[in-house]
Amino acid sequence: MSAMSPRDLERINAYLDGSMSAEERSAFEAELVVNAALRDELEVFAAVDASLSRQFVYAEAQEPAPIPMRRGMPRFVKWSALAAGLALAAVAAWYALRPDPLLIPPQQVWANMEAVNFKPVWRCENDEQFRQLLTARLGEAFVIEENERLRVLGWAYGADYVQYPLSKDTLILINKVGDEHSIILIDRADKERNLKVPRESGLHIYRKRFGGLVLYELTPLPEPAVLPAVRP
Amino acid sequence: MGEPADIQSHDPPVHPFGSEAGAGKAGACLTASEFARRLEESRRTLWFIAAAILGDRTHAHDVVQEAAAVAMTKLADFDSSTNFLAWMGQIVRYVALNEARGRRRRRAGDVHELGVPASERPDPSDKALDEHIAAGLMSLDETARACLILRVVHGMAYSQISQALNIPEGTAMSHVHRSRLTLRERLRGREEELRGVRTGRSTGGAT
Repeated sequence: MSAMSPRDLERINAYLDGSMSAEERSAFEAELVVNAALRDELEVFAAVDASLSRQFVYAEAQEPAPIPMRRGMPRFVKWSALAAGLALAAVAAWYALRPDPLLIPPQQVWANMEAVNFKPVWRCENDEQFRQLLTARLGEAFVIEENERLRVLGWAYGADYVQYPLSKDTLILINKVGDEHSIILIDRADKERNLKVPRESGLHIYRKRFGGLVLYELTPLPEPAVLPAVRP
Repeated sequence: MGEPADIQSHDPPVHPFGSEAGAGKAGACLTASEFARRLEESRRTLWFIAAAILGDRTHAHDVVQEAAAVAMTKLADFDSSTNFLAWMGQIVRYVALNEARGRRRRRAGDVHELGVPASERPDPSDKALDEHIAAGLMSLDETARACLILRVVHGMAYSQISQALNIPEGTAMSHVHRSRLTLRERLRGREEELRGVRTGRSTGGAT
């Protein structure tokens, strides 16, 4: 891994910090696609952030309300054995069910794409390139058969590099169906999650298994248009 | 709008979410009940300040609780027109620093294992990384540590961090940037190992 310039380090920090302008962010994300060293460095920084998030998970106080101590009490409140046991069980249960801090919901992915006007960062020139990319990233491939209504625009990147809807390997494909956009989230089948979108988002989500892959179509349309066009 | 048999809709049932009521306006005098209400509003942020200064979260609630006890003895000193979080934040920092000093004197063993149930311990593959980062975190100045945790983990705006820690916004931003660099330096030479831990992500090729 090569040493980064101070400017690149500042950009990585600003990117993770969310303090880049939309233009800066787009340019940075475009550079990530072609600059493996920058991508690797971002990944190390993201790992630092993820580690901090793991280590400092907030747990609700075990007391229901603040009860300031009276003078003369011990320095620290001693929990009763029962309260401690219950609290421990609650914390353990909460931890087991806690969300991955880097996971974002599908509607957030949609919002990220909206923010960049559904502009893809990368477009495959042909089906063969599309297959090669999928195989390289996820180990299996398919193609999408375009038609009069359906057009594959290209791949998204970056906004979902640090945060992701399924796993950090999730690929995001932007498509146009008539006048609407439709997004496909692609990952290995073992990364499948019970993705849902809130009704008020106006979005629908559909799932399809394809070999060892799982595909989700995120769309404002009342029925999937891209998943039925997936071909071996 | 039928769907092909192998495509499943994941649309959820109607699930309205309620909104939380806003905070009430503070009175001219900070009564015990008003103090308790404001403490609850700020508790999470205060917890993160305490956890950052201690370097782990095991006793962060205790520190906030003790700081609340200290604050209760000083209610008369509080000017209700000033920022409650800044006032309490200072007290939490003071109590947490005292606690951290005491712990350094009496510490034995791995602090990150103390009081942490087995089910809460990180995945072994992340544990080495976390320990490395935790050690680096403790090498930071306590204000820098608090800025980093409040920003990266708690997601606070710099203006809020500035208020909570009583430092300029620019200083908070600078602390976060430099702290990230410091922690990243701790991983120098371990990138390949890190990549191995983070399981098989392809590093080549454009998306």
